[in-house]
Amino acid sequence: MTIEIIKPAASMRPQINPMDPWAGRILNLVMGHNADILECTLTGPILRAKSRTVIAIGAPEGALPYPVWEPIHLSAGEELDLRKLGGSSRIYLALSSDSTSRPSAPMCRVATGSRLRAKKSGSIELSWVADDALFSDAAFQLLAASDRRGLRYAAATQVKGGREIPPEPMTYGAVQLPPSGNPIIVGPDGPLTGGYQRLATVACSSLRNLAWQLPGDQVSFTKICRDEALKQVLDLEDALVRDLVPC
Amino acid sequence: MKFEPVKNNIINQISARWISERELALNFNQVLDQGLGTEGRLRILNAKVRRNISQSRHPDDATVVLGANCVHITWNIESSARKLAQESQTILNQAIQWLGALLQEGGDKGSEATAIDLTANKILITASYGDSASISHDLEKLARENQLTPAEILRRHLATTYAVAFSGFQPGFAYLEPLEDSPKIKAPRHETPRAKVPAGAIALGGPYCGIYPADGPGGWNIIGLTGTRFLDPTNGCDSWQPGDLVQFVEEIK
Repeated sequence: MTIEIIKPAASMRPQINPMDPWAGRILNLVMGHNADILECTLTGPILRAKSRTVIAIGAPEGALPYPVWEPIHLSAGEELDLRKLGGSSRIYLALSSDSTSRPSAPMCRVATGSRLRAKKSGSIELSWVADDALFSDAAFQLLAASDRRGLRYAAATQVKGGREIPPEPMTYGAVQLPPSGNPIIVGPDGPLTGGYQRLATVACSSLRNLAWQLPGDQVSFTKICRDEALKQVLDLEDALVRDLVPC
Repeated sequence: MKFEPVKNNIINQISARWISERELALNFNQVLDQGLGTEGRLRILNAKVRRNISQSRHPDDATVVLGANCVHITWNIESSARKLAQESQTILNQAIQWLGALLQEGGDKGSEATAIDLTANKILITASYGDSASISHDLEKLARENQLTPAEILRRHLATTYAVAFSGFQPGFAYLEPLEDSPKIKAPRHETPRAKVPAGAIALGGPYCGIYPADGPGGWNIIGLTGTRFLDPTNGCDSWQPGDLVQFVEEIK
């Protein structure tokens, strides 16, 4: 490893079941090979290059004073301070896995304006809703009690609580509504099954957006149809081919 | 013990719907809802059927997870988006056929399905309850909701024989279902789940009883604490089978 971690992030983990399902794939294409991808939460680390090397960062635009979704060339001894994340709860870091590894493809940058450059938004799209009236016009605030198991929200105005159900499978993005009326979005480390009613599912392309949300952020939910949700995913997949510019 | 045979039109009793662009929910509540009781449901959803469902390798490498009366199949969105967009109806029909065949196998005479054997495979779990368990517990809440005393809630729990119905929630978690003739306890889940329930907590949720295998969030009503775990740490496997019987015993100090 050509990178030394001077100070680790508040939480730094390899990307297994990442919050953003696309960040790692995009960063691998940027690096031109399978890099080590780390998901950093709440703060990023301080890094120092032991020798000349390349890294890449995945984060919403403006979260860091460094370019994102493109290669960053570091000379020996150079340091990057990624501790302070502006308005985002997470970043993804791609580090060269091996000092001798050669890129198997050219390094790339994600084109300006591409949808692969993640944007943080207060609007979360749902690809399925049990009851159309349920979340319309309602605002929710992300609570500090959130983690990779579940994102907990407080309803700004009272939402009618859900009922209890025979336990059913839950997946990342399932929106559970406990009787309190305060929804929980099941995270990638969330329960396999649960007995609070599931009333909606977050569209896969909006899972990216969940990765950046910070406690205190206001969100609202918008329903899109399943065909539209699939189109969004196919757009993302097409962008992986279309929007990467060799550099 | 007698069971009504599962009807041949089992396929017609499975309802399927997409609950996201990549997750298909197959509900077989109607198949189970034939007045069969705990034992009948366990027979249809016997260990072999559950195993077949849970371990079946989906041709698309989709994830199959079993609930109380449903199965969800979740496709990997990156590798399957195009197929999901083009072949939704075919995928849905194939999934119903697949599940129908598995459930039918469970209901057929001569299958591996067996009724509960009340003399074998009984797991005894020693536990401490209420204040002696030195955890924050919900006995008073349950007592209020059932209009009983906390002592009566515990008496009913200890008088109940549970059957392992299915696994889920967390690794090592078993949903324990009371046998038919058990005394009743209503156990509505908390309005907001606790952020942290300690490992080993014995809790009641809806009709079920369970033991939290690890510290984590949970909405069930805590009544006691045990050192017993359903996850065998030596091999990471569950140390029980669906259909096993479970009886709780109060630790004498």
